[in-house]
Amino acid sequence: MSKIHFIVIVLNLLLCKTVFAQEQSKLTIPSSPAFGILNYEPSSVMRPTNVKSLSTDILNSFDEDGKLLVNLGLEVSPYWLGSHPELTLDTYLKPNLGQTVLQSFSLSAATVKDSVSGDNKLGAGFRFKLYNGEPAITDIAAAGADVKTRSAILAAIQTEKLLVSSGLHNSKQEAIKGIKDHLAGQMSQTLIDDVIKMGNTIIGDFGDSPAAIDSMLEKLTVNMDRTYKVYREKFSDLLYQRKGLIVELAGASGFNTSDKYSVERIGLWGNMSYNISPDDLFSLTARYMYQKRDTSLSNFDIGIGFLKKNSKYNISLEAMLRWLRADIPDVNLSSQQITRVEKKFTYRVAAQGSYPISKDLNINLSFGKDFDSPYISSSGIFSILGLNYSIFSREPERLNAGESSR
Amino acid sequence: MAIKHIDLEDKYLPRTKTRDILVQIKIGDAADTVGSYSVFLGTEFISSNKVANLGNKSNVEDKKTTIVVIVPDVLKETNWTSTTVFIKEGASDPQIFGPYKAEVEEHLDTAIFTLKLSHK
Repeated sequence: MSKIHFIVIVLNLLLCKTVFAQEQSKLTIPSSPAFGILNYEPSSVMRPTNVKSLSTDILNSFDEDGKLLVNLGLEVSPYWLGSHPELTLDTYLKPNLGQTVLQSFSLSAATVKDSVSGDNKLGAGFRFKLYNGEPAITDIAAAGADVKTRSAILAAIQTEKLLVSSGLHNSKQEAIKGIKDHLAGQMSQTLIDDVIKMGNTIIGDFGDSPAAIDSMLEKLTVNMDRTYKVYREKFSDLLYQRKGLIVELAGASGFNTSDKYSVERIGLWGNMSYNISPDDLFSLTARYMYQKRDTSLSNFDIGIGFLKKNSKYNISLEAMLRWLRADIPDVNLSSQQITRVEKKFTYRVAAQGSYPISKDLNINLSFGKDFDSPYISSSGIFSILGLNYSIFSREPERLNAGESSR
Repeated sequence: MAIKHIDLEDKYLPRTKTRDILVQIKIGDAADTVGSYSVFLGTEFISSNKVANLGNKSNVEDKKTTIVVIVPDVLKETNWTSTTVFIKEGASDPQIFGPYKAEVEEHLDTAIFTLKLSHK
């Protein structure tokens, strides 16, 4: 164990409260509203990608008595459960309002057992976008052309397989030359040379029977496809880089399934964010939260935030206003049961920063004033200095100020 | 990462004796600008990535048309890939083959659809 690893572990033990010390932004829409409303991340999350797996996942969520199992999560995007043969890239990137909602709409659900009451809780939520920013069309077109060229190479290898199976080409050398001839004039000589080079690398591993040549061409397809993955990855990543305005809505409810599915929590979120550059993001978030137990508590929050992120550091600033109402059971001077209504206005301001002090270690600083509680009086001032140690991550700790995730 | 092969067979019977048979291919699931295809008539290469003219009935009836479509999966939301083949003669409505759909195993995998069409 290196000295730096040892020091970090000791620091973590000494400052155990601050190891996780990064004040969570209040300006975000939870990525899974159902998990957010329960304040719980299930250990097992099902993410079906087709109708069949959705059916299986739903059936597997119940025990043999028909009761919902606990500690399960489900996230599903209904539109993407099936294929869309009519969906063009242009429609995907520049959808109208209805298509934007369809493409982004997701449902989530989660079950958990309340460790205090022993009751089973169910959360159900949704999330969708109304507007999804502006894609980097020029970059996408350039990256798409790279992918298409490489798809054409795979098509050429596959068509050569047809010529071999039909007996037109009878040797490995003829097959390799056939690919070369087919690609000539369609693309740069360098790309063609790469295919031929790969073909010549594997040619010795196969015989000259049609079946062996077919296997060689299939191996060549697989190898080239693997080589080309980086281009597909780049193209795919570009599809999700958006600038400009993003508008997103979400909602969730929490139910007590041990008490006739009574509603215990409701949450509604709205978020507008604006990327002025890939590194600079402004956001405006509003949310309404309602919680009903012995005391019912509702609050409406609205706030703005700014996030700057780059490879060296992240900074986020946020300010939120809150109007809250608590209906608290109480007893008056005549010992009669009453409901005491507490109404309050409070606010939160926070600044957070993250900076890498070594390749494995980030230092995080959060300070500001949190919302006042309806139950207790305190200044609400917080300042937290924390360390994040990561064996794998080489990026500064990500902050989140209303940043809209997909 | 893997390649998924989808091998398909069908039949297209020419509707006229004299009109050219045109083959058009569409790729769905937002992969239309990154996919690629080739059309063969028998062992003769006809075209890549554009409408293929197979000639008239007498030109095709003793041969098979083979269409190879490469569809890379690029969307993170789904692993579905798809392609549709349209064949028309003159101004008549096209005959539609498909849409053929396949869900690849992992994001960024590639689907290879091979459709063989006989003509009698």
